[in-house]
Parts: sequence; structure tokens; C-alpha cells
Amino acid sequence: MDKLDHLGWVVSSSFAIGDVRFAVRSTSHAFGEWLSDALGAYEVDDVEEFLYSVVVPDPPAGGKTKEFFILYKGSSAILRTLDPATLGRGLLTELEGLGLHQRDDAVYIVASVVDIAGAAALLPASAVPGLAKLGRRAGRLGVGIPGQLTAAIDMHAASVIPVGPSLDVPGDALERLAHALPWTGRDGLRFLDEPETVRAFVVPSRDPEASLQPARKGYALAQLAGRTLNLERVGGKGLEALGRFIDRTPCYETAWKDTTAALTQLADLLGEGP
Amino acid sequence: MNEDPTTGEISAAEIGGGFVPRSRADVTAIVLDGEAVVLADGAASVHYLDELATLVWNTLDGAATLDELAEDFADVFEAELEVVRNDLVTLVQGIGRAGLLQGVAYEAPPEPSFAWPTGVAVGEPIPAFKLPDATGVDISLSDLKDRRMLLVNWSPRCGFCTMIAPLLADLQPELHSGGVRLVFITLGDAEENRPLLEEHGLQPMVLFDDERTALVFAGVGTPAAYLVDGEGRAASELTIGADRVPDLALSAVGGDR
Repeated sequence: MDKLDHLGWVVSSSFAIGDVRFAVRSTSHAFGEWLSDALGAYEVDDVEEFLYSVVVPDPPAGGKTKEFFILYKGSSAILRTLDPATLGRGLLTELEGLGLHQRDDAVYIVASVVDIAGAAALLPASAVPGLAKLGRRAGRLGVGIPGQLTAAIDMHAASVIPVGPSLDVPGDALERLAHALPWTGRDGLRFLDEPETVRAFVVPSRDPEASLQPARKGYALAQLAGRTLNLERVGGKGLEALGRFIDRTPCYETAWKDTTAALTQLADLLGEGP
Repeated sequence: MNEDPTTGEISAAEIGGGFVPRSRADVTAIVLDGEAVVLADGAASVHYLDELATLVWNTLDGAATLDELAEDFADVFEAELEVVRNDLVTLVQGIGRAGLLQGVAYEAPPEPSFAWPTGVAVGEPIPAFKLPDATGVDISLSDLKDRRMLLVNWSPRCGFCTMIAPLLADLQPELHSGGVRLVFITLGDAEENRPLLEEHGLQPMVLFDDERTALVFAGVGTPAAYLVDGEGRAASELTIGADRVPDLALSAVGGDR
């Protein structure tokens, strides 16, 4: 624990989900206890690789905090939130993702549904950190930041659906976390809870200077298929579902060189209605 | 042609003008806007064919040799037959290597090579740099050769930099008395860097490189660091990560954790 201690980590736990063994460390004993409780079914002996790190701010005197709970994957901050329940949900959603490559009940994709100007757009997960850095500008642009980096395409309806839970976690786990870390703030991170009709799918452009423009459907399908976690399991039926989704969804490409400009263009586009 | 005695398949390199190509029956191809996305059964990734390649793909039905197909395409596109033939053979060889043709052996693409950046070896000169400090004055490596230096790749947006900031701040007096200059090459501008440095009383020389032009930390994340001797040579290996950079700082002042 020396290495943990001198960087502020005070607790670590090891887990195995599917074929992935990993460790989680945190700056909070309370969070560590919650994690062992919530994921007790998956706890194993010591694993050396810290896949996730969770920074919990110190409890403020007034019961509210403006410091962020931060979830790191490796050295990348994948979630910043003022709300411990959102932190817990984000971590559990992330852990669900570890087993998605073994499932065949939907096509699982590394992409996020993002609210833009009152409409839903599907964006590659690689664009999400750029959105999160917008801070208050995101709200002014009418952009809701997603709390998760995965989604699913229904094999039959070819529509965007939530990732169905498969982990054995107590139903009240998030409530328990809210009790364990009672200081809360509010943020608007969005999780996909219901099937969603998306009005646009936006892919990275091959042109590094490209602003938002319509994308060819074949290119968009190749980009979506390239972000699929379980193509090996769902095979041709899965590709056909992705093809039907792309066929009926307006597709765009952008280089994301200027995130604000790209979102403004997208908001203008989506704000015009169907 | 040399067929594999076990599988009866040939190597894609053997595909020539006399080859009769037929796509595999277990391949799924979705064509949208004239472009195909193709998936072989059991494969984990798709192949994207542009319009021209999709036209070719649609002809791979086992009814004609590549020479015959080349003649047809040359006629339609009014192109030189030999050029079309060569392009066609090359394209179909690629399709064959991808495991999409009957009778042609799949060839796994070369594994992408990846290695952690290793930086320059101990004793070798670190790459020179010339970057502005907070007052806009350009500082070059040669300006800093009067004494040892802990050169840190830094970002005020990096959570792990935030976490090691107090550790480096604690070591500042020892670094100073030990003749080790603390230098940050950082993202952002002075305004963005100031809060974190002030919060912990960190007083490094800060050089700004928001465009990441300095080769010394090219391709390296934050935090990372070198201990550099008074002649601009690496006195340590490139040290990467929040777990290791504070230890390097401590070793620079003769300590150990």
C-alpha cells in the first residue's frame, strides 16, 4: 500500500468480471467499502493492475461540495461529477462494458447518446471527453453530457437501446453509495435508460480540416461497425442491424477540430427539426 | 497454383489474371450509397470498400477470370487495359487476404506494434527545445545547462499532475538546495496553470508548449520527467506516471521511498 498511500490512495480492491481481472483504488475508505459490498460477487485476490482509480473529494463542512468525484480509467479521467450516485452509476456502467464482447443479445457499440438542442445524436465515445471539457459552455450550446461511453443497437428493431444490466449488484447499491458519501452536488450527466430515436449519427472525418457535413452511409456504417464490441459474436445479423440503423439515420462527419463550432453546427441542424 | 494440401486454398499472392474469383458464401455485405461494408463469418472487424471496389466486389461471382473482368472494366471506364488489370489483381489479392474469397487463404494483418515511449538513454543528450516562459521570453535547453534539472511534462488539466503537485512542492526545498532546477513543460497558458501551482506553492520554471512542439516529450503523456545533468544529457530514464515521477524527484535529492 506504500504506492497507494503516497499518492493519496487509501484503499484498493480486486475483481474479475468475465475474463478481465483488474483492481480499483480510491482515495476514500467509504467508497472502498461500498465497492466491496456492491461488487462482492466479483471480488478476487490481489490483482496488481489498477484499471480504475476513483478520487473522492474531502467532505466539506457545509454538506455540499464543488469538488468533483473523478473516475479514471488508466490515466484518463472518464467521468467527473459532483454527485456520488452518478459516480457509482458511471463505474458500474463502465464495468458492464467489460463483458459486452461476450454477449450476443444486442450489438454493443462504443458510442454515446448526446442531447443536442433537444434532440438525440449518437456520437463516437472519442468525442465525449471534448464535450466534457466545455463546462458551462455545453449548457449554453444545449448539449447534455453523457455519463456513459457505450450503447447498444437492438438486433431486430435496429434502434438505439440501453445496455442491459448483467452484473450481480444489489438493487439499492447506488442508494447505499449516496448514504456512504452524503455530500452531493448536482450535474446533468445523462445515462441512457430507454430506447432512443437518434436524429443524427456523427463520425470522425477522414479530412482533418472538415467541418460538419453529410457523411456517406457506407463510410458511416464502416465507422459504426469499427466501434462494435461484439461483432464476432453477432456476426452478419449484427452487421445487418447496424446497416438498417445507418440506412434510416442521417449521418454526418466532422474532424472535431473545433468542438464548439461542430456542436453549434449540429445544434443548428437538429434544431431545425426532422 | 500451389494449393495448401490441408485446406485446398491458395495464397493471395498467387492470384493472377487467370484466377476466377468468387466471394465466400458466409460473407455478409451491406451496400449503402454504392459502398460496401463486408464481414466474414466469425471475424471481429469489417472491410470497407469504396464505390469502385464495390463494383468489383459485385462481379466476384465465379463466372469470369480477372483478365475477362479487366477487359470489361477497361471498356466501361475507357481506361488502359494493362493498368486496369494490374489494379484489379492487386485489389482482388487484398480481398483474398482478408479471407473473403473462396479458395484463398486468409492472412492475418501484421500485429500493430506498440511500445511505451522509452525516451533517450541515460547519458545521451535530450532533444533540444526553445519555449516561452511566463513573460514570453524564449528559453532554450542551452540556457538551462548551468545545473541539473528535473524536467517535467505537465498539464494543469491532468488529474495525476494535480495529485503529485503537493509531493513535488514538498521536495522543492531539497531540490533547490541540491542544485536541481525544477522545470515544467506544460499545456495551457499562465492563467490556466497558475491556480494549481499557487495552491501548492509550486514554483517551477514554467515553459509553455500548448502545441506540443517540443520533441523531448513527443508522444508522452503527463506527468513524465527526466532528470537532466548540467550538460543537457539525460541523467535518468524517461520516467512516466504519477507513481514514478515523485520517486524520481526524491532520487534527485538523494532520497528514497
